[in-house]
Amino acid sequence: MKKGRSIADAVLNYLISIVLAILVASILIIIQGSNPLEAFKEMVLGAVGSKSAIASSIRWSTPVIISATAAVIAQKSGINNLGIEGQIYFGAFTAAVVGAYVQGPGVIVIPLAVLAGAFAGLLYAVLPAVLKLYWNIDEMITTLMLNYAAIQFTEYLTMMLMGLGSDTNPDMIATPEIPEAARLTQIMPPYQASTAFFIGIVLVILVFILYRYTRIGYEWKMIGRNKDFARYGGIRHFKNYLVIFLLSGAVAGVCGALEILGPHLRFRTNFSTNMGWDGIMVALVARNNPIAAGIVAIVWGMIKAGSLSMERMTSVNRILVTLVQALFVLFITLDFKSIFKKRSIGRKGRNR
Amino acid sequence: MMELFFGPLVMASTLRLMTPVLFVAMGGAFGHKANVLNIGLESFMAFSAFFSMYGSYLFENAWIGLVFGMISAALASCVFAVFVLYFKSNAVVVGIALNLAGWGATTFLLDALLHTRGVFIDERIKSFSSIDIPVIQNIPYIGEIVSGHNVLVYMGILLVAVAYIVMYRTPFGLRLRGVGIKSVAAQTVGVNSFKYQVAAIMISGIFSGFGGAYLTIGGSSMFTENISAGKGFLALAAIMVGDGNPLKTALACLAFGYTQALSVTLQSIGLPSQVVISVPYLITIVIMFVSAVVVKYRYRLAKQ
Repeated sequence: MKKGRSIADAVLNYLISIVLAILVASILIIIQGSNPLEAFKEMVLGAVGSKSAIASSIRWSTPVIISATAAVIAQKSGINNLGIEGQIYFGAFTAAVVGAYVQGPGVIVIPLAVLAGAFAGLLYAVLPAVLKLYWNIDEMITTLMLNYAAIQFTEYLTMMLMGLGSDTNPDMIATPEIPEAARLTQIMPPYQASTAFFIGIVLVILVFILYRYTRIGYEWKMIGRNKDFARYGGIRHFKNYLVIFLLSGAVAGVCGALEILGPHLRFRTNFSTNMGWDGIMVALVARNNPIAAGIVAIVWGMIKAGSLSMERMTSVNRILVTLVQALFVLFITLDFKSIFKKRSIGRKGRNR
Repeated sequence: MMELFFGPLVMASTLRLMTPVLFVAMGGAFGHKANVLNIGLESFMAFSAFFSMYGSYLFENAWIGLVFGMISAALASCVFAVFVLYFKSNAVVVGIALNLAGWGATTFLLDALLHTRGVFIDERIKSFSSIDIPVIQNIPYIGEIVSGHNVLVYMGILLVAVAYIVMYRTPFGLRLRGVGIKSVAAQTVGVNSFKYQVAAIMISGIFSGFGGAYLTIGGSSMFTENISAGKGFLALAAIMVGDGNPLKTALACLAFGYTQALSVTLQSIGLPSQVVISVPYLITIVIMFVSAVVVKYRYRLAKQ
């Protein structure tokens, strides 16, 4: 009974947030002098209206699914890994190098590149994890700072690798294109959607099983709910914390690796379209439930695909969608039911 | 060599590069001392950068632009305060969402109001003009460094002193810090911690407004998409390094500005620009590490 009610509350929260977000979007589109209904129609068509639209939705969902999984793993245990963006950069760079330079059949090179990417993402999470565990330094700040360093660092590594001088045009700084054999298979050629999507789905299911049916998953959840209780219950905090943090980084690294092996084929520093932050927001919207995060991530990807087509077909700037997504996340943080309650109590006359 | 590292050109551009981060950091220091984690500073800056430019564009006056920027950043900080302090939303989530909204909203408005994408340059945007300080400008070396900046640079330096005095020499500052150290304890002696935290966030917003304004009407007279580009996080780094103490935080800003100003010099002696750009972020981690080690060491000593 109680659980049913809390689900109903959650649904109510989502609905109100969606309505508010659409309302704001409509107002902004009207201000800009376009027709909101037409813009929304183009968005829906661009997300599911044709074969290319569906392929585009899949292509843009893929990185969000994986980075959201990385975020869920960390946040479920109360770890604020805001460095997913940076870990993605390292994963992407490493996979691009392995993919471009290791010769061999795809069945060997692709897993190797993905694993290398995962390892790079993991390595980039070691420093904040260790600093937190040994010296209690806020992981939120360190990961945030490391994001900026990651972009610069990978750019530097790319320049070193390619032997470029410091006066190179930033757009020209890229690793060599990876050969045909090391590319992921396109599931709907000629569109960019690749088998990475299935890897993302498998990851979501694995993480779901981990938390639902395994002891380790239970222990990790407990660390998030009540650290001290978990410790008294015999859960080794130090080891688990480290493993969770590194796993989150590794999954982020996989996200970057697949993004290179699928659509991008070479590493460039501007390859990431804010996907680390998208993942963090999706995980928050989904309240760190892995399956819900997967679903929200797919919706996120559809919105992205829809916004690209909306921009082509109407005069509305696609950045509007980013703004509305941000507002949606903002609204989701509110508990509308208690807000209504607060106000009705206020009307009856509170004593303060 | 001395000329390259300490020449008047380098020192003068240190002051200029430091200013936007300094404003945001001074404002953010109040939030930090009131124990409100604000990673949304970046968005305050973005909003202000856009609206300062827009106000200046509409009225062809830099001061009106500054007012526009301050009001927009203050409103953004109100949103933050309402969500985080009144509705008790997660401060990290609100910060992330606001940062994204700041980037999205300014880019959208650039398109909707000015029908431009990417970069907006117009001669109607007026920047603050530089001031030559009468006597000081004739002093060799010092005059070249100190004189010839615009009014915002001087206001920024003045603000450090004001922020320090307000925080450590006034009842307001004392109570604010009390709220930050232990909110419940402050409540029991009759301090309304909610009001103080709201005030701290509003201060962050207003001062970030100056910082954002500097990006567009502090000389460049232009707006580019995503103009704040991590400067808000740099301010956050300075606050962390200085633990919210305005003097220490300002020193961190000075150091960050100096490394930025040196980047040309450092590149000419072979240090890649990427390393130079990363330095402030990495230094922040190093300083947090050192201070944590010191705290741990002191704690051990105290226990013996």
